[in-house]
Amino acid sequence: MADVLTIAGESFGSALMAGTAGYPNRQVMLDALTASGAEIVTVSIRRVDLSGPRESLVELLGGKYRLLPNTAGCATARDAVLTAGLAREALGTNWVKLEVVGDRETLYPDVEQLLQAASTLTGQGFAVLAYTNDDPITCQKLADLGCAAVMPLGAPIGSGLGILNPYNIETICRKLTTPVILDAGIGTASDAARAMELGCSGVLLNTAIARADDPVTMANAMRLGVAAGMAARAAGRIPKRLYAEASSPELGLIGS
Amino acid sequence: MDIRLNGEPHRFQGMSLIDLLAAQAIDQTKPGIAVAINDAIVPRAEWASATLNQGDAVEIVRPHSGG
Repeated sequence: MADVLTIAGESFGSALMAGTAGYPNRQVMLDALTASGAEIVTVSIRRVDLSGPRESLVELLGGKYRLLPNTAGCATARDAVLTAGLAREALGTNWVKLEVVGDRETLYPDVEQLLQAASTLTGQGFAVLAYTNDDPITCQKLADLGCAAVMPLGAPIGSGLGILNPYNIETICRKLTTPVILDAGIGTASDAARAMELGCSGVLLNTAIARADDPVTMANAMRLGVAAGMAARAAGRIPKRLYAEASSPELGLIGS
Repeated sequence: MDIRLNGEPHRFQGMSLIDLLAAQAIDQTKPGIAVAINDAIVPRAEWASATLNQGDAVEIVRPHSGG
């Protein structure tokens, strides 16, 4: 497959990244990930359950996908930096999807803590993929800190509301030379297509696939949506007009 | 000695990190596990030489499903 996405010097044949949480069961997750075409899948870092079963995601997915650990749930730069370090140790990767959330209800990033953590982690040699607001200024600051990718949200995590501020996403894509990955808020395939049409380099989503009535079919739809949006972006859309412009020729119209 | 293990009080008979990992049936040959003692990451290469002290907070983590 032709490479369509490059992050931190590594190239991938899919611009879609998928999460591994919330599927009805393990087999549906595996089938959905296959159908999505994703090559990068996200995982969290959590305490080993010392009393329960210990299925290994590394053994289940590690051979087939690049596992991208996140710092989901961290509320401070300190916790996020420690979690990233543990992830690097556990998975042998210096890639991290950096999340530092400000509150549990919106899961919006705490920008102050996020920038602090991004600065520390880039300084420690991490390839930081930073989940952030759809705010061009914050995105630019993350890029300037040396993040490998900047990941503005389309809408709150798990909300399925789509891309609430497409103008900001387009502005962010236009301003940054760092890859922009639309992360969070995607509800259906047209949202994923829209992200690519706006100029994003990729899309990261989880709930929209995992919680769909038919996750495997939705995963395929997301694959097609991302591909369609990427193709449309490359093709160059027509400008928007306020009035009609006839597509059939005026010449030779009967009765004239 | 008494330590905290993944956030819970834990008493164990031993002095070293590898004793603790063995007691918890953690397969040290497999990838995917990371350990911190008192918020300091212990690289796998140092597991064998790491000792524990009364009151230490030990975290043993692994990848889990996530978005």
